[in-house]
This record gives sequence, C-alpha cells and structure tokens, in this order.
Amino acid sequence: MKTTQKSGLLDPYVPTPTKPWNKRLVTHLLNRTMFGAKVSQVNSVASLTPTEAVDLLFQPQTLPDPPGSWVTEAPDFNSPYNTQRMAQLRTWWVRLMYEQPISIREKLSLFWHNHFVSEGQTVVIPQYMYIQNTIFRQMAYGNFRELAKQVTRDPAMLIYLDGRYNVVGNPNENYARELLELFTMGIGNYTETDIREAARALTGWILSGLNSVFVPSRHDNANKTFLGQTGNFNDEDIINIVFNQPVTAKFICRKIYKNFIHESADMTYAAQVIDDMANILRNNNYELAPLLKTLFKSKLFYSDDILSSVIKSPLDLMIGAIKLLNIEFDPSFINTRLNFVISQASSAGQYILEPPNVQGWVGYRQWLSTLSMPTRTAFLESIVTGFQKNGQPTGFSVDALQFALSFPAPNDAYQLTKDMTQHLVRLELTPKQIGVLLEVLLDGTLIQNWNINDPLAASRIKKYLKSLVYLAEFQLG
Amino acid sequence: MRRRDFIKTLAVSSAGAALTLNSIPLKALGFNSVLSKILNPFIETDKVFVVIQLLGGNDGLNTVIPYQDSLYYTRRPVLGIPQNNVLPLPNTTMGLHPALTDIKNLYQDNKIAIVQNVGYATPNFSHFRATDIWHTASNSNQYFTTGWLGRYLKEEYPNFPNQMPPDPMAIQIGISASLSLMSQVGDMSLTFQDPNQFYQLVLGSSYSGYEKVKTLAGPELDFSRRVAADSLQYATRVKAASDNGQNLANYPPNNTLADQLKIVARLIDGGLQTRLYVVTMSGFDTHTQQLTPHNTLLGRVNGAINAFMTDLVLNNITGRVVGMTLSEFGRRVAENGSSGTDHGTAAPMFLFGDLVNGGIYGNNPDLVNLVSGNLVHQYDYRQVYASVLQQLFTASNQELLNVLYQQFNTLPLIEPQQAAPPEKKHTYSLGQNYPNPFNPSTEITFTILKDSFVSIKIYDTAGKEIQTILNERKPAGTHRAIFDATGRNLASGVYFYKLTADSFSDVKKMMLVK
Repeated sequence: MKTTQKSGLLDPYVPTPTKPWNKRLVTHLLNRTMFGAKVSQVNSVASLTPTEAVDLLFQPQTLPDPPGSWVTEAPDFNSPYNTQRMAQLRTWWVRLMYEQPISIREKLSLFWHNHFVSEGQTVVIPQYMYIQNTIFRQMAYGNFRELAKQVTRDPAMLIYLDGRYNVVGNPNENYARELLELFTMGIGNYTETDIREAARALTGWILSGLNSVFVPSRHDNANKTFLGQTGNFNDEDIINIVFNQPVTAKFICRKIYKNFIHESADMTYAAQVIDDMANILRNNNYELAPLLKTLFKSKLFYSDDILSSVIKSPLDLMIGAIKLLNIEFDPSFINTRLNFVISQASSAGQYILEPPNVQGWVGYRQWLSTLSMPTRTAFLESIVTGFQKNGQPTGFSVDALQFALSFPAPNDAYQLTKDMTQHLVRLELTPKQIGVLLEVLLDGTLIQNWNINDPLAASRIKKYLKSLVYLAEFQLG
Repeated sequence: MRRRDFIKTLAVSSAGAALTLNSIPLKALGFNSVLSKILNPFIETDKVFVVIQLLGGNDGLNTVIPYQDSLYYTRRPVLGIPQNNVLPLPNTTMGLHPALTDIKNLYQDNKIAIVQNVGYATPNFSHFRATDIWHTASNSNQYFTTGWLGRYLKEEYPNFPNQMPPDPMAIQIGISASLSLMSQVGDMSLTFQDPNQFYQLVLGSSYSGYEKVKTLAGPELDFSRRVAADSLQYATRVKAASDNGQNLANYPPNNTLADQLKIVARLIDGGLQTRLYVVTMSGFDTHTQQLTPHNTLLGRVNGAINAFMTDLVLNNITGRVVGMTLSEFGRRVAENGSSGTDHGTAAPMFLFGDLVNGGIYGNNPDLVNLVSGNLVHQYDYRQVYASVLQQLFTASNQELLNVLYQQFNTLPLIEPQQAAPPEKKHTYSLGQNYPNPFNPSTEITFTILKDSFVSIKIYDTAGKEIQTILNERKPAGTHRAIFDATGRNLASGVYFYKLTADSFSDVKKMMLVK
C-alpha cells in the first residue's frame, strides 16, 4: 500500500517475534470474516501467511444450488407454499454459513442483507427474497455502485419500499428516502426536496413475473433537480450522482468499519482510517475487494485494541460456537438442527430474512439485553449439555472427547485448558482465570492423574466448556 | 413518596447510629424478596406510567379526524373516512376512527385525554432520527445519547447502579432496550418478553471472571457483565410478581399490543414496584393501500387499551396507572398516489387512565396553513412529557429542567399527585424508636386515625422476622410499644420495625449496640 494514508494503520501487518502470526490471530480473522471456524480450518489457515490467508477468503466460489426448484416458479402472493418456502430459504442460507469453505462470501451476504434491507414478511414471495439474496452473494465484494443499481431495480426491494407504486404524478418517496438516508449517503447530506426529486426520477419500475420491468408511461420524463444538478434523470442517473458525492464512500466505509473493526467510529484514529478507506474505495471506482483485502491485512485489524472488541451477533455467536466446538450434524437431521439455531438466534433478536425494520439490526450493544443475554448463554449451554433450559433435548451436543483430541496435548491438563480456551476466546485470560477453568476441568482429580482416556474425561470437559461459555469473554469476537 | 426521599428519611432518622442505610448494600437487600416486601409499603402509593410506542409514524389525521373540515376530504379523496363512519367526540368538531369504539367510550367516561398537533420545530422525516428525537427529548438539531425516561430515573435513583433498587426501575417488553430508557450510566430498564420464560432462561446461570481489560474490549466486557448481572438479579422478582398477579379482563387474541399490556397489568397487580413500562407496536408506516391495514392497527390499539383499562379496574389498581401513546411523526396531509400517506409532522397523542383529565387539548388541525404539505405543530412533545413527570410523578421544576434541559409549559393532563398522600401523613405515623441506638430495650410510638387492628413486627437485615411485639386492636390516638432484646441472643446491628394498621404501613430502622 502506498502511504497516501493519513493514519498509516492500513499498512499491512507483518508478523514479528512480539506479534507472531499465530492461531489467536487466525481465529480472529476467521471469526470476523466467517461464522467461526473448526479447529482443522484454523490449523490450515495458520500455515499460510497473513496475505495468503486473506486472499483465500476472497477466492471465487461457484453459486450454491438453489433451495428448491420453486425459485423459478411464477410468483403468487396467495400461494399456500410461500411461508414454508421462505423458511426453506432461511435454513438453506444458514446451512451455507455453517458449511462454507474458507470464504468471506456469506458474512458479506449477511452484511448486505442488513444494509439493503428487505423483510420477508412484507415481500411475501420467497422467490424474490432468493433473487435478492443471490445478488448479495454474487456481488458480495463486487462493485458497490453496481450493487446499489441492482438493488434499486430488485423486485423484493420494489415491493419492500414501494418502488412499484412510484409513478409519474403520484410519487411515493419511500425508497428514495431510504436510498439516500440508509443505503448511500446518510442523513444530513441532502434535503427533503432532493428526496422528492429523486422519487420522481425513480418512477416507472414495476414487477412482471420474477423480473422488474421499466414502463415508460409510468416514468416522470420532466426535468428533476437533484443534489444541485438538473436533468431528465432516471434511476441510474440518480445513483451516479449519489456516487459522485465524496460522502457516499465515507458513509459505507464507516459502516464497514463499525461492522468489521469496532463500533466506536468516532475516535480520532478511527475517523482517519475511515477517510483512508473512503479514498481506497473511490480510487478503485467503488470496487469493494481492494478495500476489504487492505482492511483485513492491516496492522489495525490485528492490533490488540481491536481483538475481541465486538459483541457477537446471535448468528455469529451460535453458528460460531457450533463450528468452534467442531460439532458435526447428522446429515439426515441437519435442517432440523439448523432450524433450532435459527429459532434461538431469533429469540436473541436476529431472525434472518426478517430484520426489525428498514434500518436493519443496529447490532453492537443492542445485541445484549437482559433478555437476549440469558437466551444466548442458554443456547451455548444447551449445545454443551445437549439439553435446553426447559429440559427438552437439543438432539445434538459437542463431542467433548473429539474436541479435546483435536488439540496437540490432550493428556496435559494445563496445556489442554490453555489451548481450548485460546481457541474459544480471543482475549488472553489471566492466569487466575485459566487456573479456575483448569480446576473445573480437573474436577477434583490431581493434575498429574489427568488422562483423556479416563471414562469421566468427557463429562469433565463438558463441565469446563459449560463454565467457559458463561464467561462474558465468549460474548465478544 | 419517592424512593430517594425514603432513603433520605431513613438516613436522617438513624442519624447518630454507627451505620446508615447507605452502607447497607441495597443490592444485597434486593436479592431478598422478604425484605423487599417489607419495604414495599413505602412505594405502593407510587404511580406507574406506561408508554405505548406506535412504530412507523401513525396517521394522526385518520385517527382523530377533522370530519367537519371539507379540506380533509379534498386532500384525502380515497383515504378520507366518510363522515357517517366517524365516531364523533361530544362537544367537539372532531371524531375518532371507526375502529376506536372503546376508546370513544373511555373518552366519554373522562378517561382519555387527546393532545392535538404534537410535534416540534423543524421536524425530521426520517423514521430513525425522528424516533431518536422523541426518545431523547432533543431539539431537531441536538444529538443526545440518553433518553428522557432514563434521565428521569437517574434523578430518582441517583445511586444506581452502585445501589440497585429491589425491583427494576423500568421494564421494556421486547428484545432490546429503548433509547428512551438510557441514562448517563447506561440502560435503566429490564428487558424481556415473557416473565416465566425469562426466569427459566436465567435460572441456574452463573457468571464469573472479573478482570479489567485495557483494550477496546474492556468496556464491552464490562457491559456484558452488567447486563448478565441485571438479568440474574431481577428474574426472580419478576417471576414472583407474575405469579402473584392476575389478569381479570379478557385480552383480544392475535394482538401483540394486548399481549404486552396483559403482562404489564399482571406485574403491576403482582406488586412489582416498577414505575415505567415501555411497549411497542409496529406497522404504522402506511405508504401504500393504507385503509385496511390502518383499520386493523387501530382496532388492535383499541382492543388492547380497553382490555388493559378493564383489567386495572377489576384489579382495583386503576388509580395508579397512566398510559400514553407516541409515534415518531404523523403523516402528510394529502394522500399519495398509492392510496397511502408519506411521512408527515404533528399528530395527536393519547393519554389514558383514571387519573387523566379527559378531553381534547388544542385546536383542530389547521389544514390550510401547511409547510411543504405538512401540519404545523401546536404543542411541543416535551410539554406532554413535562406534564406527565410533573403531575404523575410530582417532579419539581428543577427536576424537569434536569431531565428535559429546557423549561416547557405544562398542560393539566393529569390530576396532580402528591408526594405522600396528606391524610396518611397527618393521621397515621410511625415514630423513631427511643433510645436509639439501644441496649437492650427501646420504645416505639405510633399514631392511628381510627380504631384499627395494628401489628408491629421486627426484622433483621436479611428480612427474617425476629418478633411480633404488637398484634391487636387499638383505639384512635398515639400509642407505645416496647421492643426488648433481652435473652434473644441478637447480634449488634441494624434491625427494622414495621407497623401495619388498616392500609397504612411504614418501616423504620433501629440499631442494637451491645
């Protein structure tokens, strides 16, 4: 990277003896860019350099098979299958998160779902939600401007923010407002008149089968004055004008920063980093990959301040825990298991395909309330013990022996405690905390008598895991 | 009486003793349901305020309808509610949406106040920014990170979170806490959806590992621990109140607002000493084809409030509770091309309850003098907030200023409440024991208004009953009772004595020094 940066914090991280590229940093990278990682995935990435590791996350992937043949069926708002298919789509997506190879794609698909928000219950048609989801996956780290253009004509979005009702003479401002406020520029950078004028330029798009079509007679062909420019603008013109505003690059970079680095984007160094990020994005014509790669290779990303500084989203926490604990689902029950995860994440405030409103999940500390916190820990406990708080079996739980045996020294109780703990939490625990966890693991036996082949070893490891997931440290990623 | 006053009273009345109440960790007391029940009489006279937030911007003009104004029908050819469907409000030229039948009855019973044209200067049209303005009680151009209810609670419980009240100060029914309940020290509310499920979730959980971390992770860790600790502390109290309370009204099914208000009524009835409840209902962002959905939404609001009010009456707690609706904005006066309405400005607010001074406050909406097609506000929303805090919670002018940062003229929306009901203050009283500290015996005086059955019981700080020193009928007047610790093997320290006579109850602290 050339040092056109103000901050210098986006310079690449180079491993040093005091800051080695180790499993701790690898797990940090994989947790922030994926939904957790199995021990074997951590081991394989640890053998790469940081640059190779990040490049691997951006390796092109083929598109997954669709959730069903119904995705090409003509939409029917009264179809009795809509609800069930929306649920299939949800399970299908969470399965992609769970089964994904080393790739940032699903994490970014969720990021865009939470940026260009549509709610399934308003869109109703699962085909449309699938099409939108596919756009997010295809363009996960593509061109942000092109993504905004596609979303503007996306059938689900035309339903969700009423674009299909936006017609010459009777503009509907709903999409125009959120396009500017939430999707591209941010509040305060345009006027109410800009919204009304943009709405006029966006007129003319309606739904036809699975596609959106432009109907010239519904479009307002008069001049519009938008952000100081006048012309007979259409939707592409509006997007182009928006993307010529420097504030647009900053707006999305701020959101990327908050999502992938840390919430406090107003700190001095954060503000400088966001400026630098915006410059990279604009210099690359809004291509996202160069920006994101720079970010995940940077000194900043691996700095002590940033490690473990975000509160995990429910899906991050729950799918992440399943993967971190090496839990493998029986293939014949996998959808049932994932539906349990979906319902628990929903109880904790993240019902995928149904964000709470057009702003999406606000995240950060709003993930934690006096309700969601116990919901989260109860889930974690249930996948360790195999039982929910109400006594119902979860149907699966961690294979404690297999998990312990995936570490190099399963017969050394102290080393095993350290290794398992480091795999599961990013913060360096104090010797005192490690000592407490070791005591839980030993469960009264002498440390020299610890033996992974002891018949009680599995239940002791589960006790250790149950204590560990109740650490506040586990809530952070 | 405010809890803070109560704390002060105790601190003063034990002056001279080695210990003050402030040195007893109230947090620890809070875990003890017996003791908090003993302390409850002090705050049973407290009032409860329920905020119903209608998310998305409720269409005020189709809720409280200027049906005698022909401009209303000119601007809303499709959406205008036909005159003969409107429910006219007596002695006014306004009417209610036809779905609000029960609200109209409550209005006629003087239990509904409608404040017209509520908004603020330079209104914002973004859902999120406008919601933040309402929650934080800011001017349009001010950005606050704390909410008006959170700041009010901080005034009332200045030692929070170092001293935790026995019951949650505020409850948000939902998954995440509202900005309105944030204070300088963080979230002042307990958040949950169902008391039993909440209890079950928290049951048996434990948290450990309290080490300070110096990186950016540190504050997040502290935050996570505090949330976890709050859940642990209050789950039992909420479950107990839910088990203790009852719903006597029939709440309508398939109505999320009714579900939430049902929980609120049950917790109030069950004795939870929580002052503020916040519930939400979404779906009011009616940009397209709004007639049917808006009718459904208002029908639910109507059914939910009516069931709640009925429940309060049947449970005999109706004199303690006031509710209020708010929404981030009203909607554009003229309908749009999709038989809906776009974001607007001023709109009516509803207050309900026995304590409310019913009627309409303010003028009919002025449909002539619009700004960019929108209504001009007549009342600032913070006037309503100030009125509630002043009249329901007896907040002083200084407290109002601390909470709202500006002075606002209040409206007489609620019958003014008094910090402590005078008849109780002057006719029943429990005196400080003498001598105090004592060893081994001390004398307790009390006054009762009329012939009553009286009991005086002694408790230790764990809430365990030590002795009943009086349990009999007494004539009106001032009486004495003696507590003698001789031969009881009691440790030195703080003890409480509680007087119960009729509906009056009071607790004071005394100190045994051996």
